[in-house]
Amino acid sequence: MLTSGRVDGVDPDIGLETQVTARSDGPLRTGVPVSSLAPELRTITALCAEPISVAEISARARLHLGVTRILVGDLRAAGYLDVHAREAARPDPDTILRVIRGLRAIS
Amino acid sequence: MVAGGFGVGKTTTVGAISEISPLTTEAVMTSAGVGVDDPGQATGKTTTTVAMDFGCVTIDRSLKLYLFGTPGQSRFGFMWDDLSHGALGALVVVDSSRLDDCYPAVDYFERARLPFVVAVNAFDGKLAHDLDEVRWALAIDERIPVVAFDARNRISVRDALLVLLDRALDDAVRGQTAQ
Ligand SMILES: Nc1nc2c(ncn2[C@@H]2O[C@H](COP(=O)(O)OP(=O)(O)O)[C@@H](O)[C@H]2O)c(=O)[nH]1
Ligand SMILES: [Mg+2]
Repeated sequence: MLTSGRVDGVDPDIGLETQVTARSDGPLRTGVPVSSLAPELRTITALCAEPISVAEISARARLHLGVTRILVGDLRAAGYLDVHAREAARPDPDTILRVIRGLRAIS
Repeated sequence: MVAGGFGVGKTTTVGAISEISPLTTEAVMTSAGVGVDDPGQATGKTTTTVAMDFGCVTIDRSLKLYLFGTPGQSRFGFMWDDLSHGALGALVVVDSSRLDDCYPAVDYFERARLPFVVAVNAFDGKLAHDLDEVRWALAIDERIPVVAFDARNRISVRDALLVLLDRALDDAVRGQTAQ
């Protein structure tokens, strides 16, 4: 439907774990308010008020992952979303230590 | 990543620790050359729909741990490639009465050099084989931890993840000093 059957050409920056945030100036830049976007696009933009992963968007919006990736790419290209670059490297020791501390706090 | 065969307890594991109820998302994956046993096929591509579990744990204000539950068959290996980008590591969930199911995942993570732990889900507190037998049967390297856990229990899942994070930390520190 919305993706017009596209499966290839997904923005390689957009992985499952990629963090996405809505740009507050998005509608200003495009001249189109979020409220006039297609429902799926509106849902995605609303979910991105706080940084959120592509996987979480897919799950919450109940959209296929592949579809989500494409739509996030479209919204990014149109200027509604910021995509934070993928980290190619493995997490560093400090980050891992933070996760360890965070998990230990779970009871 | 939480990987393992069908029905071993992946969804249960993610649900036990995630602060949001486990969300299952579907992915249509198109991949070239996966299971190519039909060379006559026009495109040479296979499309598979896979269910993936998704969960998260907030670590602190600027850090979230994401959990991805993925199927354990080797034909999903292309998905693991995608998921292992920036991943901390993998928990390979195993049902001790069906050890064979986890071979592909163990094999994959060994090759990918992604830190992993073999986590044997003790269905109702019982293991069909003890941990040494599991290690021996799967020919798992001594450096790879093999732990027993209860997929339904939050603390038990947390502890299995902590074993994995210890491994990941070891690797990350070693990687840094090697540079
Ligand atoms: N009794 C018992 N049942 C479990 C345990 N772990 C999972 N199950 C059940 O086994 C079934 C398969 O688990 P599920 O998490 O869906 O497996 P998945 O296919 O790997 O995601 C479900 O009905 C679970 O409720 C366990 O430790 N004990
Ligand atoms: Mg499942």
